[in-house]
Amino acid sequence: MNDNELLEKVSELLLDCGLFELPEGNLHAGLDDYGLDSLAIVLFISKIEKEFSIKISTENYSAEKFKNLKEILTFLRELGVQ
Amino acid sequence: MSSSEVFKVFAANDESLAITINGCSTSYRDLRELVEKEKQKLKSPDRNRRVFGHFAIKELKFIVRFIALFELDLPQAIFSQDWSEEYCKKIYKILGPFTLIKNEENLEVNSGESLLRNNTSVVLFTSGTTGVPKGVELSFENIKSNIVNIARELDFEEVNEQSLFLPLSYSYGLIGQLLPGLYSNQHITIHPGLMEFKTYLETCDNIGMVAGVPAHLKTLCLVTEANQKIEKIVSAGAFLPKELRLQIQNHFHKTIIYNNYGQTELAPRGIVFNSKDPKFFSNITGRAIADLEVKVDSDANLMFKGSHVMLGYIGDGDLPDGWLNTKDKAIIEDGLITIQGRSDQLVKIDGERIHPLEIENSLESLTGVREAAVLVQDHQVHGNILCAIISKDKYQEISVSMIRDKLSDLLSQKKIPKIFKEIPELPKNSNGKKDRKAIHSVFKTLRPLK
Repeated sequence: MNDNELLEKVSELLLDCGLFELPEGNLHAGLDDYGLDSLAIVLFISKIEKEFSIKISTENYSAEKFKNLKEILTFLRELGVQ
Repeated sequence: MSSSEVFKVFAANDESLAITINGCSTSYRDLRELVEKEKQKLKSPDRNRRVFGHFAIKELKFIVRFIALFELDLPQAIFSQDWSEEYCKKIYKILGPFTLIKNEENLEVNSGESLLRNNTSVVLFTSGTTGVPKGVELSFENIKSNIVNIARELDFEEVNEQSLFLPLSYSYGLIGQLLPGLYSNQHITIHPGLMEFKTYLETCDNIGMVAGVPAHLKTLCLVTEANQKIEKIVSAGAFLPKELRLQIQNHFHKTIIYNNYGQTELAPRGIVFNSKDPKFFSNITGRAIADLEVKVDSDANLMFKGSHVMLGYIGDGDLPDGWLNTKDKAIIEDGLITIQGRSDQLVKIDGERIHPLEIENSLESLTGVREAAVLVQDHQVHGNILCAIISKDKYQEISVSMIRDKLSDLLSQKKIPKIFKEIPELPKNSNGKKDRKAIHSVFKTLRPLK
């Protein structure tokens, strides 16, 4: 999965967590401004765990890793999402 | 019943576990020792009845201090770590003179005569509906009644374990769950948040009891595998709609669900109902707890009187004849209470009572905001969320992060809208007033405020 495909999948999953929309063309825009709060993050984590067959534990979790699309994509690559 | 009898379970020889926080466990015996030491530190015969203020952090030292002050019958005010410095200043002003315990130091704040009633034991703060927070004065009797009645009505003693991720600054977290749990000799595992609880749930064999606001419980159904690990699920902050009751039951088989209604002014619970009742899977809210009297007034406002009802707000008079008007509309049939909505324009979001107009006024007080409208939108997890539409002042720069920062000085966190959108000018009706219907209809077409 290339970066664009990963971004598309992540965006789809985020919109499925109650966000009404996402920043267009700005990977650094804060997702909290789009409604990604602590509950939505937990829901999003559950979705990416299922989608990419990965496990996010409390040890490697921090809200900072979900502050914008760029951080999320980097985190997923670190977790081995290909 | 004296305070030491409330916590009768803190027996000096009880080796069973009381609390686990951050992986560290404390037995009831050790908790008792820590409380006794803390009481020696806090005793001050020359300054009897001084008021202590401290922050409700998820650390053992806060719990120890809370119990020590409670047992010494010294009034205490509970603060939240989520408050900004400016918001804290508002709270401190309302409280009058007190001793702030912060970073293990005691600081004297304000001077003069205490503003609290003589029999106030605990002060909790609600965010109010006019931009001014309110200090809810609870007596020893209020707290004790809640502990004893809740432990009985929610069958706390049937389960040995409780998982707690609600904030301890929240009346349901502290008085509604932690204290009845300790009274019932439960082992309480305190989690920083829902994410940590989710991980715990995946790895442990059994969870006795867990409490959450409806959005927490809905999220739990969405993010966990269906299982039988949880014995009791307790709603906090707001009552569960019928659909969510069914969703929880389908997901957590064999779990007993406890629906609750209350507010901080009710210390905090007034109504309970559980899934063992054949009428549970309906929109009925439940039955009044124990000795609480309940009625509706001529406008169908639900009212309570009895041992859970607060003494009053700081600086306000006593409640008329002891009756608390919840301003929730309700019907009562054969003792079963059904809440039907509000008598004012308040909305309840994640357990917090919110008046959109108050937030609009706060927004419009900010430099750079010409006009603002706040509306409630349906949300798949929270049920509903606050959204704001801003019309910017042409000559002043303002961004979402600036608005959030400034609002957090004026309002509690839950009152800050989640979504901000921008509009050149708000739609108006022929009288020049904001056209709410038109505002709702254009909301989704607007672009986010940067």
